[in-house]
Amino acid sequence: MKHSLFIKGITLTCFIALIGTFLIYRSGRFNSFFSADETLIQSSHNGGIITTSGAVIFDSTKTARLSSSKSMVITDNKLFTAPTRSSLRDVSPRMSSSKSLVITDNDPLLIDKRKRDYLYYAISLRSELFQDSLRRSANALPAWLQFKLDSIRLNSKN
Amino acid sequence: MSILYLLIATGASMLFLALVFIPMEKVFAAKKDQKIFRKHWVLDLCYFLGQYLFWSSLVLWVLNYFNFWLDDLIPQHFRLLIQKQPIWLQSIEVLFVSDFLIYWGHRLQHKVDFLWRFHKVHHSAEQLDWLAAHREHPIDSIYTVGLINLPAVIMGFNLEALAVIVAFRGIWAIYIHSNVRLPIGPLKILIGSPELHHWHHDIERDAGNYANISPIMDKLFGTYTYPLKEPEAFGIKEDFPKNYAGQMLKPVLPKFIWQRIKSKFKI
Repeated sequence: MKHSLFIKGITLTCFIALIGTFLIYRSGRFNSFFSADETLIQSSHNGGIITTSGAVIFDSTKTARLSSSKSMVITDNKLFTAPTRSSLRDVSPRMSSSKSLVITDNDPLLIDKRKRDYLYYAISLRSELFQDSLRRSANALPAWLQFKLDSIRLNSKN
Repeated sequence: MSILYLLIATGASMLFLALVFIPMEKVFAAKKDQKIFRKHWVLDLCYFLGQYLFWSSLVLWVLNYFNFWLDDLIPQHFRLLIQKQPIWLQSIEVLFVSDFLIYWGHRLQHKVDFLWRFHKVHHSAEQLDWLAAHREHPIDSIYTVGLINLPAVIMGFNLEALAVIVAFRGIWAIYIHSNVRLPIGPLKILIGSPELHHWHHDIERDAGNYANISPIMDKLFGTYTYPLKEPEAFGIKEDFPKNYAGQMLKPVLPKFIWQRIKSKFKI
């Protein structure tokens, strides 16, 4: 079947317009239409989005990964919860060496490998007493070591 | 996320794709006698639904799982250097590196029998259109998507900033399978088109045109082919099941188990 130039032109225009709209949508330009109330949303200084009233934010740029080589992602259709670094460590607490010291009994020792250059150990300890004794010991240390220890975050989770 | 939401999103995706591609396939048809509800369209619909409702989540889960182990391959300061680059430069880099990986990964899928057993599901389509593009074994998806995303993941390209590129790559991958013939002139050197990819789906296993978005890799490595007509026939020469369960199971099962299942359940 032969189609007129007009029909071809309209079809091509619609095709380009629809794909263009989809790409603009995936760039996040329409996100404000999907959020509950824009006035309640503010950006944090590090680029994140803070919700002040528990508003649900729909961010179309979040699924910036193809789930198939032929996928057209309209939504982040995750049925499975992706494992996080901490959850993976929780499953299998491993000794880093045969000489490693396990400080806590239940809580995992969380080590962020990306920040290991800064000695960023997030140690989760149950005992307040242990934390106090650690702080007292730290005061007696040389200044350079105290500086290092400043990056140790004590996080008591009870 | 509720199942209802997932169903609505899948329906919306399907409606959108139908709106985008069906008029194009009618007006600029490559094979003019091919119908919308052609042979095996239900099988491809099963692939579409399976992919959107189930497999894509599994693939993302597997990729996220391996991200954890890949994180330390590239030094952190190198990642930061990449992220400091302008977005346009990151976009070109990610497209080029992904295309390079997918080109060689795709050639291997055709050369190595173990990879071909999964990839031939995609090539088993005897008629090509936007729906047939979704015919893909989930293990094949993990391999392909892993390769496409690998540079972005291990080198630390800003994925959210590159969302448009990722979306374009996805929709273009569907377009090149559609039953469309629309010559794009000199642009065909830069960007892949259906008439190029249709030749990749020629019934011969090593027909060329392995690149995903741009045919530059095919030009570079000597696998570019661009005859002026459409291929006579798509599909594969091997005996392969024509139903969803059979196509899902055959690649993952040893031959003798497959033969038993085939004769018992007639699939």
